[in-house]
Amino acid sequence: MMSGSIRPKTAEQIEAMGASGRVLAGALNEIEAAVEPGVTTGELNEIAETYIRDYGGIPSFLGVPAADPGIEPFPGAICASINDAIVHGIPGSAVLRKGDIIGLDCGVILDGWHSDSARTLAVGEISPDASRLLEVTRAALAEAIGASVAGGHIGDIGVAVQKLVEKAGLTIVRRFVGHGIGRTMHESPQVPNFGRPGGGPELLPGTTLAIEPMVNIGSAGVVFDDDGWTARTADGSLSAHFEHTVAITESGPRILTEAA
Amino acid sequence: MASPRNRRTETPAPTDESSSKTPVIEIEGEVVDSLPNTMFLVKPIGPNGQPLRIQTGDDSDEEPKAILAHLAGKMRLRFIRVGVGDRVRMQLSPYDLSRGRITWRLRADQRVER
Repeated sequence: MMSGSIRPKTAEQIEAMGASGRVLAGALNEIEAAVEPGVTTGELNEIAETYIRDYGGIPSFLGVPAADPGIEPFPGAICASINDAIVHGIPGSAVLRKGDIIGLDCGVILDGWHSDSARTLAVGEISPDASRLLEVTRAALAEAIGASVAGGHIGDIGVAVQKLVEKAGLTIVRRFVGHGIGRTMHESPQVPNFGRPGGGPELLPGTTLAIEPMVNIGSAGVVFDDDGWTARTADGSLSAHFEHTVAITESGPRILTEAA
Repeated sequence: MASPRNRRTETPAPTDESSSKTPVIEIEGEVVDSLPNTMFLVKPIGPNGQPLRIQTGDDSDEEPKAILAHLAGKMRLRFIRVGVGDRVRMQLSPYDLSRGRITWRLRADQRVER
């Protein structure tokens, strides 16, 4: 749950979040290298958790409470969302097969500072439709980051994603949104992947956001598995998700979740 | 990790117990006339749909009286349109039962069928 006002960060705090983000990017690179047919999502989870702890970080997804009552806290260090899973797939015994796409979302706490990042990867060779989905979603994140400039608004970020995705004939998931990030994983403001130019709060220098377009080939509808976490497309179509933690600075957007 | 989008939710009206302010009597009614200045004449209706007779002190006539009610500021701000025939919830002051404040327009699915 998020509440309260947007808290801009100082330059030192942004540096600290960048350090957290570098550990996270390293962990994602490790699991990306391990993605191949036959690997289970549980194995990927273990690689990520070991890497993060080796670098003195804490996997922030572990134990995140569910939004709805009666659902267990999130049990993994990563979210592993295969094919029609949009986000929040629980890592476990699921085996990657050639032709799958897998969304890998992970978060790190280092010295009390959060970072949050995701990417969707191809397992072996994938269909042209699937690779186009990945391309468009990756490009949408890049556009969104480009729109994250001081003096702009949250709505401009949504517009950037929406324009590109809808022109490509794909659909945007509206059930989930990006978020402010800092001392906690979810802070104000919400960062929807749709919006109006100039809508929402103004982007002040020092604002740190987790920007994360989630894009489907078919319906934008969301259904949940019995585990209460795994969110899937209502029509079973493929879904992709890319995310970076970004700081808005006087000199433009700075991606905090990149490897050194 | 994506955050579920928050949606605005209905704020529960303060009940008699939870309200620290003046007690109010909450009843439902049907709008019978729309007057200028967002004032309405509302015929009180009981929980089972029967006409309610509100004893305002001075009346001795048989016909259940309509109550002069204004639209709550909250509803004006939200531009809730109220018209003749609508079912509404209103609050009466225990000190003056002839005046009311409309606090809610009931949706079709909340309407008690007569």
